[in-house]
Amino acid sequence: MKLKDFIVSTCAFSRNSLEFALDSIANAGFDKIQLWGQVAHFHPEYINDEDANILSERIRGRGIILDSFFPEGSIYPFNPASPDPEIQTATKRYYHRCIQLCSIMGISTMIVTPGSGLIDRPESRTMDTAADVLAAIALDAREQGVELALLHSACVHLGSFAKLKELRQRLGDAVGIVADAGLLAAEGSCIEEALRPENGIIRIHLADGMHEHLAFGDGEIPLEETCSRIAAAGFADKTILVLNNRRYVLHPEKALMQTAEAIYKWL
Amino acid sequence: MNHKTLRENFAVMNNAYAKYSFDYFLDSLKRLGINKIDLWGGVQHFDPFAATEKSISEMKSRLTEQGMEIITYTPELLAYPYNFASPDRKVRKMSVDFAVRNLDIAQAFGVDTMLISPGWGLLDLPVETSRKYSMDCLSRIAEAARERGICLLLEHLTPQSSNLLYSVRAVQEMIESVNHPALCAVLDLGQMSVFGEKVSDYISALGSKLRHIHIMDGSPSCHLAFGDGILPLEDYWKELRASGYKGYYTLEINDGRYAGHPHEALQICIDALLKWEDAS
Repeated sequence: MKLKDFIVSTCAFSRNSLEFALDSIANAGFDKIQLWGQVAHFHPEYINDEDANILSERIRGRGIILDSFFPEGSIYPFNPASPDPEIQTATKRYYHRCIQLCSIMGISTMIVTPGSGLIDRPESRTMDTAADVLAAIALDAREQGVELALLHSACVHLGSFAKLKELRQRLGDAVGIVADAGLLAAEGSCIEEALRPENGIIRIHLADGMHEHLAFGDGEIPLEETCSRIAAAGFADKTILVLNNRRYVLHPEKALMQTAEAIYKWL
Repeated sequence: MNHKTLRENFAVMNNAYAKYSFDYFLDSLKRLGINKIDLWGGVQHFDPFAATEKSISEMKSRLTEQGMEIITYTPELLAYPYNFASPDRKVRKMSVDFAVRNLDIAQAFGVDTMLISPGWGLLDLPVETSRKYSMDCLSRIAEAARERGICLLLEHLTPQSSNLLYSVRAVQEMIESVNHPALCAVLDLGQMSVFGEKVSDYISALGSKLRHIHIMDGSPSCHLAFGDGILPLEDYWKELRASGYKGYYTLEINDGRYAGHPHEALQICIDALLKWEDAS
């Protein structure tokens, strides 16, 4: 894999402006981003169509490729698996706006958090509710020409790769999965098995550590080997660096540079 | 400490139970012998966007029937898409509107305090600029609080959460700069310890503006169950009592390690509290 194969998620820069994030990403040698939708940079509910257009032109004008859009879904008040009908409606409305913005900004892929259940409620209800809400969101995405992908993340009832595959089966092949390499390792899954075409993975989130999202070298994952295996499976240009562990909040640019240097050493 | 002192002074914040239903949380409180709630307005338990006077009234009645009482309200401001210190005017307006909506909710619940955080400045912007934005928003929210008979509890935060209030001096300066009777402060013993400060620092700097305490163990950071950290919590409690502080203590035990078993984590805290010397 080459340095410029990697996509960088702007979620590492939660306490910086988007300009700072883009400067840092360019300085580290990358030119592809996953745009994170959070109030610091770009919040779907606050930005109008014209400003969204201007933003996408500004990003592309810097020679940066907009790979995908990742609206914040884990900590925001939206949850496809919520038993509350009001939250389900608000969630659909939120992601409808996100899909519109993808269309306006020419972003072809959007990541959606599948939702989190409640430990003291049945898992089957979580799955059924998430499937219903996500089916509506998926239809919306299809109609707008946006590829939807379910995020592999630690959440109640829907946090394992197996559960995501089950959810995806209910939604149909048009919906993909963004796998988390650290979570796959923590689950004991083999990366080659996970990346088989029938599993529907369209992107991989990669960092050091077992779902700690650490800079390369700060965890225990054999990253050079992992990247080789990812590349061999055809995902060299579909790998997103997600370096948003809290320890880097004050200096995310250093974490990114450390990661770039580690990758560069392999070349 | 006897059970009466415990029940009179200590509340539990439901954010520790974010992966469980609100019913589970209430059942846990009954088993813990606690009847006071610091209500966290996270949508897992309470939807501040859809709440109406009717739904709040029904919730209050349900809690009263179960012998429970909401003693303060903590809207989710840090994680949700709001920021009083944003350089974007629209974001600040949406944030103030959300805060005022939550004041209406607090008033409907009949509480007289509500937590407020200062927002966070972008690290690549001058901190003084962010501070001014925050001050302006807090002034407007404080006036709305006064109109509703509510006192705001300004929360200090670690630098990873906000670059605005990570020392007692910064809290004091913000309160003095806003200079509004409805703006007071909450002391989070964990954050205080992270800053290397003492209880006496807050007592002398804030005086009667100190209206609430968040209590937890820490190492010194993280919101840990008692005994899982290094903090001399009983000493803190004694010092606060000796200073004349008569307000509430919220057990805020929401570190991620307890997310799957919050009741057990809170039980450890309750067991520890009951071993403390009785208040004199």
